[in-house]
Amino acid sequence: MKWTGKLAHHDLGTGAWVLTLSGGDRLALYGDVPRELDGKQVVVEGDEMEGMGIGMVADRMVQVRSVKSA
Amino acid sequence: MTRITTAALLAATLGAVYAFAPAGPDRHVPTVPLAAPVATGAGVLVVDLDDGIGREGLDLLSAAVGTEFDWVHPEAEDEALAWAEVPNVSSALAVARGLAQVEAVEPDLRMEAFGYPNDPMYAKQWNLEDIGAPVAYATSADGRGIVVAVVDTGVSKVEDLEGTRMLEGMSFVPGAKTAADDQGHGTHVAGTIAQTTNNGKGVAGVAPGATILPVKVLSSAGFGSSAWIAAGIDYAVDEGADVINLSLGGGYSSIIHNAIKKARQQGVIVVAAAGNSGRRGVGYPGALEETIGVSATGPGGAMAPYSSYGEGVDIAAPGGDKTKTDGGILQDTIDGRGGHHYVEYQGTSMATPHVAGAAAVLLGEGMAPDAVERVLLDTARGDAWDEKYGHGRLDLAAALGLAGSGFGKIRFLLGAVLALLVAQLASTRSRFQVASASVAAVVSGGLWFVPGALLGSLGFLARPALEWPAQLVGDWWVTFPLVLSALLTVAVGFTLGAWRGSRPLAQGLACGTAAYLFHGAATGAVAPWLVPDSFGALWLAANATVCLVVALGLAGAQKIEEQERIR
Repeated sequence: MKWTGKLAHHDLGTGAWVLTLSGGDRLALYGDVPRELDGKQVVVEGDEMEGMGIGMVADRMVQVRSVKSA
Repeated sequence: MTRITTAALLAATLGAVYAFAPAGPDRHVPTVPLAAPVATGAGVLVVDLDDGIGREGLDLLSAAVGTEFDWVHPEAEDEALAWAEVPNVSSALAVARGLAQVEAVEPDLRMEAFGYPNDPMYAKQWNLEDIGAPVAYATSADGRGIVVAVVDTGVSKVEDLEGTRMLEGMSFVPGAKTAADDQGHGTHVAGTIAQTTNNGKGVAGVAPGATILPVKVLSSAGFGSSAWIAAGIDYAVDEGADVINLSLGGGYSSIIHNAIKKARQQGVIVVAAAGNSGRRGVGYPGALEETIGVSATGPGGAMAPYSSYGEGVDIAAPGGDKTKTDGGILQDTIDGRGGHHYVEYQGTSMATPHVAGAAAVLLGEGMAPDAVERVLLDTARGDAWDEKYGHGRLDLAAALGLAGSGFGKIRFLLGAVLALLVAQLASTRSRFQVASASVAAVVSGGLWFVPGALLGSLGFLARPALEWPAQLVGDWWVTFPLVLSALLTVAVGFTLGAWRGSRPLAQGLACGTAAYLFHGAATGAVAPWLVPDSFGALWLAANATVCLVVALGLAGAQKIEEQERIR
């Protein structure tokens, strides 16, 4: 699946990534996210997962395959 | 009823009012024997350099002494107050005194004299001071014998965890063969719970005597499926965990909920993070009724900006606030390059292990799980429940105070009243009544009213006399089922109870033990080892009843003998 939104790094635990979609929904991203894209509008490719994580910044979680500038 | 008995009962009633009255802001702080002083060789040296000397003075001092010095606190740079852990205090002291830029120098007396842990970075652990952990250190309440499962990214035995008791654990993450940490989160969490403390190295933990059970359910990315997590919780219960720490969260999962329900049914305390959304709405499993949901505070006790809040928050604990200087939670963890580092993290993940560690400390004191939960919430610093702090901010010092002297007062009075009533029923003489009531009070409540400074190294006498042998044989004594039974009472009743001179002692032991066991059954303040939790209260109540029957028999024998003496 693909999502477009604003990427933000949160200084929580070992670090947490959040993608805020245009409608305001938030996705917690797990996997490799390039640090230089922090604060930018990006397109995320990945799979939404059922489970839990250490970020706890959003209920919906995505295992990231790729993150690119929008 | 004789006048003296009436007076004693009246005094007991007044005392009971005192015992049950709210503690108020003046918290009890034990003044029991303190930890052994730091070894004379290594120690912490505090140096007051010339004001405003800055980094140059720090470098000069470090070079002269041969040890890296740092400011006591970032704010202490202006006053030029530096410190370091040195291998030999006396020689470092001599070198520092010889420097013209040094105004004053001395060993860190606070650490040596008051039994604070000698871990050199302890001074940066505001979080441990915040929850009152030093009181636990001073009373040697360290969670010994308690297993805390860290259901997380795994736990690696980094340098400062070397002295921590740790089981092998298990991984439920495909591809990860062991429960070793490959992320850093779980090791940090485990450190807050049971970091090796007072080892002259790194940092300290809340319950350094506890045993860590590493359960890896989260991948190196920090994510885990519901199935892995549920299986990890089941495993932790099967492996005998007393407390489960869940510094993780997400949406509701019925299989995780079921696993937590089963854990609770087994008497396991489950502590879970509230979440880091910074918004109203607590994540799962922190929001479940079966978990203790933990929100996060920063230095000073204000709620951390990232913490989730709302229904489901039961208690608040330090999770750190890195917008403030040294405001994170400092621990040792893996650095991702094969080594380790001391690093500050923040999050409700960091708040949760404070509560898990506190629960381990109280369980280690022999309390039953339900009582531990109640005491943690009852003693939390706060008024009514609110959505940010739940029942308030974690206060381990107050919890230990209630578990110790608070329960001691109630037991003391129960023992005295029981003994008086039993003796009164048999219409024994007042001398017998007073003597047996005094013994019963001390057996069940101890000498809690004697100032700790007077007891000195005999501080254990403040605990119920029934627990005194633990000082010699170890803490297992306070939960050993035969100790928490009528065995001793029956044995003493048939021996010392046979003689008039020692009968008040036997009678007092019987009533004191009955009071101790009845109180334990009612409050869960004690939990007999090996007896299933569901039968614990029954065991205690049944044995207390036997003690009471023995006491009645002894009082009857006393009355018969008194009548014969009159004839």
